[in-house]
Amino acid sequence: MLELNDINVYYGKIHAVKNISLKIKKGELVALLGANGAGKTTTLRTISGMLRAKSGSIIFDGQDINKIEAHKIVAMGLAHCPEGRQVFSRLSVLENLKIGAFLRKDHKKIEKDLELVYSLFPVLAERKNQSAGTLSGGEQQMLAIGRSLMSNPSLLLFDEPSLGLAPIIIEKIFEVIKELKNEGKTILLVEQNAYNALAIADRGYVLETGNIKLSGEAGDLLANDEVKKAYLGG
Amino acid sequence: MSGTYLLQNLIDGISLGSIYALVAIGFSMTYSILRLINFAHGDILMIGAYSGLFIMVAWQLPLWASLLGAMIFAAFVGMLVERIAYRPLRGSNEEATLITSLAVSIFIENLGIMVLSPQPRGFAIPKFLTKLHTINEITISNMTILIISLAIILMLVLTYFVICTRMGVAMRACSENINAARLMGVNINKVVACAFAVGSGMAAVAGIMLAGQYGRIEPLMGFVPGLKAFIAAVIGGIGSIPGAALGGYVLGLSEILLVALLPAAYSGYRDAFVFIILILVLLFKPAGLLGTLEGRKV
Repeated sequence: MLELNDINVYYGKIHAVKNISLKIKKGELVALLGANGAGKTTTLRTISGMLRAKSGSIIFDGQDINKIEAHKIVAMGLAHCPEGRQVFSRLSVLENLKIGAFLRKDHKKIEKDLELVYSLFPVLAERKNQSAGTLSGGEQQMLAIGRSLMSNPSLLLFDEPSLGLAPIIIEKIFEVIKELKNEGKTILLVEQNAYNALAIADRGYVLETGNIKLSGEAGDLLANDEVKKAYLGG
Repeated sequence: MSGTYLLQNLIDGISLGSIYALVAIGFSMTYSILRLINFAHGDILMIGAYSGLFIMVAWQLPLWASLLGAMIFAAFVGMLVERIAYRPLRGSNEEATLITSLAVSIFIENLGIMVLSPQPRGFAIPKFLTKLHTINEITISNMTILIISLAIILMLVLTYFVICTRMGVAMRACSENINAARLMGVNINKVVACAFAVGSGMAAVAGIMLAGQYGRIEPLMGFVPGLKAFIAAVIGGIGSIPGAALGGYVLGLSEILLVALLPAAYSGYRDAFVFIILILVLLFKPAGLLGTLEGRKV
């Protein structure tokens, strides 16, 4: 479904992502792990067209999307739920969700997806007319996830959905991500919370200073001594 | 000082404020999305006034048609300026776009002088607009009524557009977080072009209203109203559309009232008052009346 072949990304002179290749099959949940500054967010931003890879190819559904504009990539069925939530705080909860469906014209199906998001996160239904800036951090993360579902994507990129949240909310967020996978969505999950991510993932990649250091089945990575030492606290 | 004198000046102030408000809204719209202070905005007002005049004189069309035609033409020019001058600079720093907009302004003004001649031209409005009504010693012309009501109508339409339409919601989303809006599938180029078109169209109306009131137009006519409207946008809180409208009325009213209420000897300082008001507002509300200070990411 998604294939990165030897991509290189630069911020000015800084070589942030070096020759990364990774593959996600349809229906898979893949975790992308690594410390701060390892290149995880850069990789996601390159996939969704916010940044351009200087070399290499990004194949999504059989098409190279490296030169395609971000909004067209969304139209192809790829949704990117960005780091730090980035909800539109002056827009209402409902407006935030509706702008997630910006490119869609199938109004009946949009209403149905809206109900689906509300059933995943009932609190959003209660607060639909409130401006998003008044929500708590956890509720904003729920809104960000809900918003990314509104484009009815086949592939979802999640960037640190657990960042800065209380443990009980983190649990809920991971539960929902697992549920989305069970419903057949393909997911690339970027996390610093390696243990939780690997617990629900099929496979994982570990990034270190722009390189892929390790990759494998989630269970193997969980048992790997190096991963344990670096990311799982011994 | 009598009550009628005050009321008369209030009406004149609202009329002037309406024009500032129409222009200031365009400043705020492009600033809110691109963080671009478009100094060429006042010159779009001039282009609107000239195109309105040509439509009226050359095609012998009525005022409403020339208003509509000028709005469309100015919207087109606004989008063209954005496409040629500002889009290539997308993503560069604010200083670069600011200087570019000054360059565009100087370019349009000099192009106007070359093509349209520096000589002012008469701008005759239809007879019925010059008609005066006198109620209790207060004089109000049909032109003033038209300016005030047209501004209100346009602002109501704009409010509907921004709140209820798909493009309006996208515009608000972009003004808050342009990258997140891109991730939602919003085509930034379309939103920006739309903001320029709407702002330029409103400036064109302001241009024709100014021309109608003073009865003449010239290629540099956009400079002072453009500058004042920019100040109005800053007073209201740049980036906020209601703020721009409010700032326009505050500025127009205080400019007229200060001249009217202070001794005649001070009336020459009219433009200085504008800056005094600006300084006072920014001293107490650095973000403007309705603006919010945004934290700069370092």
